[in-house]
Amino acid sequence: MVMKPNIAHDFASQYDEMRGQLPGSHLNWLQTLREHSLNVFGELGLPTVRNERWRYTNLNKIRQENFVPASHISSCSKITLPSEKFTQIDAYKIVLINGTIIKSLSDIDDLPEGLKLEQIDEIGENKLSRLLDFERTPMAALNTAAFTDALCFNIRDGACINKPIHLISVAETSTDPVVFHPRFMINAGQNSKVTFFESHIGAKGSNYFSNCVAEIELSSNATLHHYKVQNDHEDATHIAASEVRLADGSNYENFVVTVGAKLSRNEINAQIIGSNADCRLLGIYLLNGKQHGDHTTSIDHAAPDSTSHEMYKGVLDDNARGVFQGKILVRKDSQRTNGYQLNQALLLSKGTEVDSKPELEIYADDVKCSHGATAGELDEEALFYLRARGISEVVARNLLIEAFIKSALDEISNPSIQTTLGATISNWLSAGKCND
Amino acid sequence: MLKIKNLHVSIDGNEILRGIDLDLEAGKTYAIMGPNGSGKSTLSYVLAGSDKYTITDGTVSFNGKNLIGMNPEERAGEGLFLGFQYPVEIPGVATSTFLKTALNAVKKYRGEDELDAMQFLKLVRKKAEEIGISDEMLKRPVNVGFSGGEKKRNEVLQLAMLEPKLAVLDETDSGLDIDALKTVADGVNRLRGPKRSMLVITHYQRLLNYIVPDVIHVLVNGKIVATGAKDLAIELEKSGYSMFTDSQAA
Repeated sequence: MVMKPNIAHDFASQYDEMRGQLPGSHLNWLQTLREHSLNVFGELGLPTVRNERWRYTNLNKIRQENFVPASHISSCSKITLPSEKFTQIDAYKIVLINGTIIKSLSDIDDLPEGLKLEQIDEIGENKLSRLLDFERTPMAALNTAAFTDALCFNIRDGACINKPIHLISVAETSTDPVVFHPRFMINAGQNSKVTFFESHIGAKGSNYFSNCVAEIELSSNATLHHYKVQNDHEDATHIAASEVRLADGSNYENFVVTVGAKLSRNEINAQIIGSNADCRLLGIYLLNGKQHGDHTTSIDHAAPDSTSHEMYKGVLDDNARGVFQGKILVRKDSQRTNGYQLNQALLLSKGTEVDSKPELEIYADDVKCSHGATAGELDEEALFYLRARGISEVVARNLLIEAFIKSALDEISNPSIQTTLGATISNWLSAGKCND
Repeated sequence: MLKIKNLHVSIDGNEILRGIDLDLEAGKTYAIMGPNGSGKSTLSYVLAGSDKYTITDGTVSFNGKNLIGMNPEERAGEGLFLGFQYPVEIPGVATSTFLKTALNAVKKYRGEDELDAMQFLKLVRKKAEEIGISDEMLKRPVNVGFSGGEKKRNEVLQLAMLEPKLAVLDETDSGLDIDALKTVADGVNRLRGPKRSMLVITHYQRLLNYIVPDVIHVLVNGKIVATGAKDLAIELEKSGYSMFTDSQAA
């Protein structure tokens, strides 16, 4: 029997060799953590479609590439950030290039009272990876073994951060395909309020693999609005896992716009451990060509009297494929849980495919949970009606597409972010980015 | 204005229109009356450019241009307007956004200056008020949750905004009570003028009491079987369409 080379081992040996050179090699706790993570990843390997959680997303594209770890960029590289609207929001900017923070492009010295940013040297033992379950997210094990910077955003109890924090992850590659591992944590203190905006952009070069991990913890009555635009290069791979833990009375709102990358996955695992918490997972995916976009969520209701609300809307054209997997687990004592989940896809051409897998696992008897999934085409009657009023076919189609995703956009609580994202999407649509 | 010659149209291989000849002049109002299934709605959809139908023979020219080769938006730009029998509901698109997009598209086509947000608002408010459409209705998604009367008034508002040369009104009276019918008819009558033609398509004579046509054509089984003045409608109301259908059967 011929053994196929296992790329997981390649990754593992690559990072094993450079372990001493990775940032934080002087920290014993980090060395131990990295070693453990690398061992686990070496054993688990890259997830395959035999893994139920990866059933619809095949990582062969990664297996076939010889990715090189992105070299550590320490000085400012001459880079111009794309001028798209969403990158221009008024915010505290933190810029990563290939997973490494670029201090000269970041507002690191102008952060407000109440927000403290810690890097590897300051984070301290027993904080990183606390929320991760490597069996569930093997790619997070690789990230932990290999990240070049870990950023920990601490929001002090009671603090209300006046502007969004904007983490901009930029990819800059040359000839070799590179892999990098953006990594951050958000700890929202009791009664704190913060908006966190994540942008993922390909600035130069096309073939790269961005393997992101976020660990997010909300203390009692914290409110965190977490928005993300994934506009990576159309040939890139973007795999992201966010682990979220919600304490009592906390509010977490996540909204993702997936428009970039050839192959992408946005996985969110939320655990609700307190009562009266509200977890909202929302998103829009606009894919064309041969793009593959996977949105996998799991919400664990581990306490009574909390709510979760999910709404994802996808627009697929050409041969694009969308995947949605949404699991809601309601544990035995999590009475009076209210869960809602909806995934809707608009299929603009015959070659598109959407796989929707809702999964409800309910052990409590007093709960309200519902889910729905639809896939449909543009309404031809509506299209004709608009055109009969003089509106060109392209504009009419875009009007209908925007109308389709509007109900998801409307869910965004922050009105200025809602406007910015709405305008960004309109521009993309009229430029034919997601609809040609 | 509109010249139709020997128009044959079929859908899924069934011939619906079997040789229509029509000649509409500017400034006049015409009615096409006919029983269900006679091809009235087919004619209006074909004129507006629906691709559900196949034109197997004949010509249609609109102000000297070949209408058949144009797509629906070009026809609207040229000045053709179809008032829909069943206006389509479009969730997520605000009526005012729809109106502004349509108006500016048509203005662009006609080589006129597009309106900015303020100019548009001023214009739409004035026209909407005349037809009895509130600001609140303009904010609502197109036709969603509108009553039958509101939908038809919305059609008349679009007609008023787009200022076509020819308005084809398909069963504008269907589903309206008498008060709503009067409002809609008043709106249409206000828009009649020496340069604008109207083609009113209806099953019943009732509407023609309010929008009085210059000429009435009777369409039965895909053909125009009679042409006359407004008295023809009253005659039809008494005897019904059976005089034509029977004679064809015989």
